[in-house]
Amino acid sequence: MFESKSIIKQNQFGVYCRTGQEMDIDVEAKESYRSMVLTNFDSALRNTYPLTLRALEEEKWTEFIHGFVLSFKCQEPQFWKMPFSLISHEEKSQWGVENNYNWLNDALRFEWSQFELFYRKDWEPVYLKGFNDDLNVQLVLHNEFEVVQLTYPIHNEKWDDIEEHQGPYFILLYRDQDDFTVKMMELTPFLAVLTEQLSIQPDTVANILENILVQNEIEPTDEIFQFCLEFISKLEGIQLVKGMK
Amino acid sequence: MSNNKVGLGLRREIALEICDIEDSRPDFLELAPENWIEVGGYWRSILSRVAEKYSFTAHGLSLSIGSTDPFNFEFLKKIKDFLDEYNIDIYSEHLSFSTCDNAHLYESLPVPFTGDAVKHISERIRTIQDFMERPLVLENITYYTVLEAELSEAQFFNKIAEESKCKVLLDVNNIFVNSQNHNYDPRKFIEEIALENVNYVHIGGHEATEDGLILDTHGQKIIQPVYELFNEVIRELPDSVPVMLERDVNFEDFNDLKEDMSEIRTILDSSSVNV
Ligand SMILES: [Fe+2]
Repeated sequence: MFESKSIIKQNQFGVYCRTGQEMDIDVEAKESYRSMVLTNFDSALRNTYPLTLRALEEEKWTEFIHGFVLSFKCQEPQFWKMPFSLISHEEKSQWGVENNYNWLNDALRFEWSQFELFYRKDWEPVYLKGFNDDLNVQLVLHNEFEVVQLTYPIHNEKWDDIEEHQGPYFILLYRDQDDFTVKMMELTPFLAVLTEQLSIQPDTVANILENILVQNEIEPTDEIFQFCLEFISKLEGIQLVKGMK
Repeated sequence: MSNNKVGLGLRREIALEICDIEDSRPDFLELAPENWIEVGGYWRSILSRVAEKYSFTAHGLSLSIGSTDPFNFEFLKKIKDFLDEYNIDIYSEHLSFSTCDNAHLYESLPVPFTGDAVKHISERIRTIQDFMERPLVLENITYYTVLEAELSEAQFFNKIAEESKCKVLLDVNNIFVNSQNHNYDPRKFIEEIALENVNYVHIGGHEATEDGLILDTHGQKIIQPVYELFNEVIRELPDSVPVMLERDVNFEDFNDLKEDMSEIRTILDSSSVNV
């Protein structure tokens, strides 16, 4: 690494802009630069986490965000992806738990998933046959969805008494294939597992279903199979199931 | 039909309007690859529509050429693929640093104008040019502090361009803003900078704060003294180069932008007639 006096000064200035920690050298307008850096972080995070901001309120939000900028070294070159780092920071620092915001991690994950899904890279379409109610085939789902497990009902938007309504809740967030907006659907734990397994297991619906039933010690019945078929056609209706292999 | 090219920044706020412009269309659009790489959904669909009608130049945000942090080659490869995908020749960036102590700051911070920095930055530019397989075009930024100055800013640019063979993106508004904030004659900068290295020009509006500082907010119409400076630059430039109107905020009146673009074009055309 190249280290001359002037470049050391540059680095001290850069560290000051992120941390606000005083340095030995004097740099004119350093406070303005620090405030520009903080404003950049703050405005992007407000935009990504509006519900969290509302619930924390200004003073606590600022404390949380300033702590993040100070202690978390963001590695993300794309500014729009930067807000994800706030989750990594929170998981490490446990600021939420320490300040009695037990719902904070749920809130950040939920809001990030909504945000990220809107921007997520498109699924590459492939040629597929349509699903014909045959469970002995492998389904293909696109990847513009996320099943988020929450302890607190973040998805209900009214967060009064949120601590008293502990879940678990399973929320399917997905990008509408026609208008690109992010929509949600509440799932039962069973359907949450089924959705996830259908998207990751290279196996037939029947085998996937059977495994889940065995693991949960549930007796397979015609009703269960019928119920699953209905759910899959619902996923097909929202175009999450794209077809079969 | 003149060869002069007048471009506009592709901002999300005006992307739809840009798609539908009938008259006074920009000749090209400038975009920040970081804002579009791995973006799908609604904005990808808009980008595809825009790309059918316009060619692009790129103005990157994350390179941090002045930093002592190592480059992120994995991400640079994504930028390169993006440039290739959209046939982008001009890959411009800021002569500044935006990462430090292994962290992104998402802000262009000034580097010291010293011989050491020339050496350090030139070496990094050569690495990038080899990797990207195109020249790097570096922009003069606005700065509110001078960390150290063994050289003037123009001399600093000249030395870097000489050592690294990079190109220069001359931001006329930034020259004006810096000259006001640091009390010097902007013409002196133009006289001093080696204009043969310039292959891209930015022009835009700015804003004065109550305490007398001028900020390059790119939210206003271009003011007359900046046009005058631009006119001088254009007359001095050995070749015709693309010129991009920068507007980052205040999009309420798209006609403002059209008027600025048309004024830029008038200046360009009148200078080519005189040649
Ligand atoms: Fe610029």
